[in-house]
Amino acid sequence: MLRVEDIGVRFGGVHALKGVSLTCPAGQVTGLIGPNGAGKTTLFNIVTGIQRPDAGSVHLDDRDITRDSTEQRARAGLARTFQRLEVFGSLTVRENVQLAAELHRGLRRRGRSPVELADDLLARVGLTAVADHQAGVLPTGSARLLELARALAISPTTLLLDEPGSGLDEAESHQLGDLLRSLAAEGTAVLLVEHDVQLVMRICAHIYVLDFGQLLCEGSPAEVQADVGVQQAYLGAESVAS
Amino acid sequence: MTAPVVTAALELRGVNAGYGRVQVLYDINLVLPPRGVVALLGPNGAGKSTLLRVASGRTVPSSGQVLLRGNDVTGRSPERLARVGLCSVPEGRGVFPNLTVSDNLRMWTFRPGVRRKDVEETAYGRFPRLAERRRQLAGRLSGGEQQMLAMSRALTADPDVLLLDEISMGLAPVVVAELFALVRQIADDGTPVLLVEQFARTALEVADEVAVLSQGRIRLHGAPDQVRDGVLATYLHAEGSA
Amino acid sequence: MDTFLALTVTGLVTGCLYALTASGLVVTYTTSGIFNFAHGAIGMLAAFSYWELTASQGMPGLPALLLTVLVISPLVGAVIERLLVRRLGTASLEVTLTVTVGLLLLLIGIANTIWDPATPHRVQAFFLGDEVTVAGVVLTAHQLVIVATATAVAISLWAFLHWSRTGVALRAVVDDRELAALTGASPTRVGQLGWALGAGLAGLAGVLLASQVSLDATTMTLLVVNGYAAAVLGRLTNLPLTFVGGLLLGLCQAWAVGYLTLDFISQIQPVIPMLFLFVALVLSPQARLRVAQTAPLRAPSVPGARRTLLATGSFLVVAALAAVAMPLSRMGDATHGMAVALILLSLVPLVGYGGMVSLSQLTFAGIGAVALAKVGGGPEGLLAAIAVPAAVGLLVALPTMRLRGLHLALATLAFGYAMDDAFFSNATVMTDSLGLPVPRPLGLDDPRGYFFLVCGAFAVCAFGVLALRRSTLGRRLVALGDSPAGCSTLGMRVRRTKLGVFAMSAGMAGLGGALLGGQQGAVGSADFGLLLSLTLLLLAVVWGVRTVSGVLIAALLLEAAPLLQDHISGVGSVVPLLVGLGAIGLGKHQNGIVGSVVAATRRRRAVPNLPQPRTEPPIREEVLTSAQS
Ligand SMILES: Nc1ncnc2c1ncn2[C@@H]1O[C@H](COP(=O)(O)OP(=O)(O)OP(=O)(O)O)[C@@H](O)[C@H]1O
Ligand SMILES: Nc1ncnc2c1ncn2[C@@H]1O[C@H](COP(=O)(O)OP(=O)(O)OP(=O)(O)O)[C@@H](O)[C@H]1O
Ligand SMILES: [Mg+2]
Ligand SMILES: [Mg+2]
Repeated sequence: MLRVEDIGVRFGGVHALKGVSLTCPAGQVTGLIGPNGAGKTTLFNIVTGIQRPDAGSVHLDDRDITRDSTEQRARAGLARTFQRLEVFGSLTVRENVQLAAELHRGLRRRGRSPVELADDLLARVGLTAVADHQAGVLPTGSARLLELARALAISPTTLLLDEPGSGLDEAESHQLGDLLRSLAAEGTAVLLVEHDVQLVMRICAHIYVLDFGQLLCEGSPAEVQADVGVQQAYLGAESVAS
Repeated sequence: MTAPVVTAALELRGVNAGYGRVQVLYDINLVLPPRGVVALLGPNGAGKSTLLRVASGRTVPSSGQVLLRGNDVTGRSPERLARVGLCSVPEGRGVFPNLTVSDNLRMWTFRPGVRRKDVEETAYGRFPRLAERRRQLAGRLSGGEQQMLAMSRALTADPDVLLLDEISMGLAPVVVAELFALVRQIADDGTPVLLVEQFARTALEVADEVAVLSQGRIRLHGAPDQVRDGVLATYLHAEGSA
Repeated sequence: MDTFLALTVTGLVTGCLYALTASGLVVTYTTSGIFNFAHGAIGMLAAFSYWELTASQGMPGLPALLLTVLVISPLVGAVIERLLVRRLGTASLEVTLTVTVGLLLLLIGIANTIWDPATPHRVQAFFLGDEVTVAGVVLTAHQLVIVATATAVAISLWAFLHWSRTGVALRAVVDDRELAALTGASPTRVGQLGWALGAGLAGLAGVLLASQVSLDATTMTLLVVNGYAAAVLGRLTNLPLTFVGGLLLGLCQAWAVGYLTLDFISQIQPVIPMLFLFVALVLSPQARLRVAQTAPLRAPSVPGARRTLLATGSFLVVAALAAVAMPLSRMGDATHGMAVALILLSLVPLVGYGGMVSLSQLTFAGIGAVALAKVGGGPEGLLAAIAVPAAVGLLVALPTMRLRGLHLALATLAFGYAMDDAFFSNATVMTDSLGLPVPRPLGLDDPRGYFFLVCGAFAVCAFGVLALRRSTLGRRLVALGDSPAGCSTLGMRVRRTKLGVFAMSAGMAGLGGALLGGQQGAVGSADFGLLLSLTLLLLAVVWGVRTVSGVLIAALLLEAAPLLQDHISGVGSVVPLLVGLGAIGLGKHQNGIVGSVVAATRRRRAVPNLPQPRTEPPIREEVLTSAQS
């Protein structure tokens, strides 16, 4: 479970985030949506320790991790994917996932071998066919799935996904939705940033809407879709109709 | 539609292309008429971006021809094509990350006859967010803000032919709706547009003509209403067989 | 007070020269994404051309200056761009670095061939004899020219890069060549302009400096190291800051020379640029957004465990046969070659797998040799020969871990430069003018036995290196080169991994150096020179630093080169010319010759030649590093 409290971040004079608090409980997919530049990726960077907040705190499974390093947080069970891809392009697809599994296993030597785990995860996201390809030449959509598999390899309790669906076509994005739901059902806390509204509305139990660095509203998909502010700032009139 | 015979704005004739030893496109014939929007759809990895690379001169086809307004421009350098009015917004990377927003706009003025003042006025007028961030490095903009900046080139370059690769990727629904309205408007003002999209539904709404690419070949071509069912079927089929 | 003023004024003048040099570096870097180690060499070439025009051909100073700075140097830059840089595309850091290192060696080779280093070349200062007195300090007209030129150049450069459209395009092309083309700017022409400009600046600095020193190709080339600190202070991109950095460096040096005792200063002076660079590195807030060096796709071939074992075994058999059969007269050369191979092998995990570049691997080898000499030839001596360089390596690498790979390369270069003068030439370290006597490790005085010992050490280390690549540590290294942010969010201790590999590599080089020293019986300052380090790195990369066989071939060829040189007389120095030519080939064969051969013979898992990387321009590394600091 992830809880952030009262996070504030400034870039120069601009508030990228201001007083943002949210909770992402285990066992469900929590959505985080908002217009471009609202601060979603910045929040991910704060939570994973890539950036430091100017105010507020981050708690993972009720432990304050605000001062921990990125590595420590990963070891504590936090994993993420990136909006701008960060695959290990020189390694093969399998090695990407295998390395993550090894990094995780380095701590607790038990369970299945990293290669087996990698193959299972690749099968799960549907990349078995390209397992021996060099990761650098994958098309965007597949690379995103690879990042997802790689994140899963460290057996996270909390998973942050930054636009995993962009670059996927409709069928693939539907499959992704099913996969995320099953992950949540297995007890993972999933925080999803995504602009594919259909996907978000379909799989999220609870949705936070961020605008100009502040929470605009939160609630169930239906509540959020009905919110006039959200319609104006983000959804637009058409999407609501469809 | 006064003249019965019109030269195509852009035409690919029998194009085969790929990367190194890997062939990606097979015998592509595609005509972009002098007006209107042609949407190029297709699943992940079908070769859509590669097709645009060929059309914009970034990849030289191994055989076949590229014709711009009836002239054979196969093998012409991308910068020469750009200066004669072919504007291509590449997938996901349409900005210079280490230049400020205003320096990026400065780069849009390499098309002869385009003035710096006009570029800034149009870009900032259409996307006020960019005006607020004109001194910021483009690489530090949010993903969506970067996409806006990239699109501003299409708006300001006054192109004769416009090639757009997945411009909606990572954008908020309101912005996407706005962008497609914009594309429609650009086309109505007389600029032919070749639009690559993964989300069939959205593209079908703005397009005058649709071509579906799958595994490097054009499978379907026609008016949106004619191909709608086929499009959705192809997607699912391609998914199933992949 | 008067001394203070006088020192300050000379300091400012020197500082202006540093600033000018550093600005040239920065211009090339911002416009091509390549840190040009040959910058000083281009300046050196310009200085010699100027000498040729004035002293030899009798041309007056000003036209000669203009011809050198405005025509010859830019032309050299444009040619370099055409022949070397353009082929590089989005090559990885170690390739771009080595190509400029090769260029450096090539230019030195050319200069030494044309202008005999044995005869002195002197250049007259501008307006010789004219002097001005400012606030009681006497300034020569030449010094005034330096100050005025440097200031004018700094201002106009900045204005050009930031205000003109071409200037913006120069910076844009580095970011994304292809996108620049799509906007209608011509990347090739712009790229060439950038190099012409950078080379012109190098030429200007070279000519202004020429009258202040006696012209010597190597010295002049390496003087540019002094400018690195200034460039780093300017984060390699910021011209005003670079200028200030140059001035500060000049001042510090002048004050140090003036106020510290002569004896002390003679020891510390060569270290000042390094100290300054290290301070600049520590002060560096964070790396700039990483430029177009898009994730270098390195796919080193990984032999399986069985093949490794087989290869190691056969190598040992061959070595044993050679140890028995080889004539004793060749034994020394062969042992030497294998020791060098071990030093080169230390580059494989570091450069080949991890993409980190050390430009002073021989310095670590030298430290190993000295450690062995001081501790003695027993096992504890060998241990020290590994541990001491490893520890020193840690210290050198530590300040750069927050920063990008290039900074590590710079730090090692400055370290090597400083050690050349302050350590290996230092009487208290080397004790003997003939060099420091080094014992044969483990008392193996028999040359055949010793040869086999060195071969054995190489075999063990090579086996270890290959096993490492197959291990998770190897995958970690490769992954780190691709995406540090990805690594740390998966729980990898990024800095620890990098430091560990650097220390391990330094230790291995130290062992190689100790074995080398044991073979020679004594080591001197010439054995571990910086230029030799650079040559070694270049050879390794040219032959394939990602493969063990590549570095082995490189080392043996290096050993054979002097024999070759005996046959080709008339050429000043064959080695620099050869390696320089090798650098040109690197553009096409970025995985080295062995890499290309392997790829050609094994199409099995062939990775297509990538015309352009699929990933978006990377810009995240600095975000990560800033948070960790
Ligand atoms: N390093 C930085 N320096 C200055 N401003 C920054 C920096 N990083 C982000 N910003 C600004 O902070 C705001 C929030 O950015 P962020 O990337 O978090 O948005 P986002 O919600 O992820 O948007 P998108 O959906 O478009 O990806 C943006 O306006 C961006 O320009
Ligand atoms: N630089 C490259 N080197 C080798 N193969 C490549 C390269 N770029 C693309 N490919 C391959 O070419 C095929 C087509 O890629 P392309 O990017 O054109 O597809 P796309 O239809 O645009 O997909 P997406 O929807 O993911 O953007 C893919 O299988 C991809 O792996
Ligand atoms: Mg984002
Ligand atoms: Mg594409």
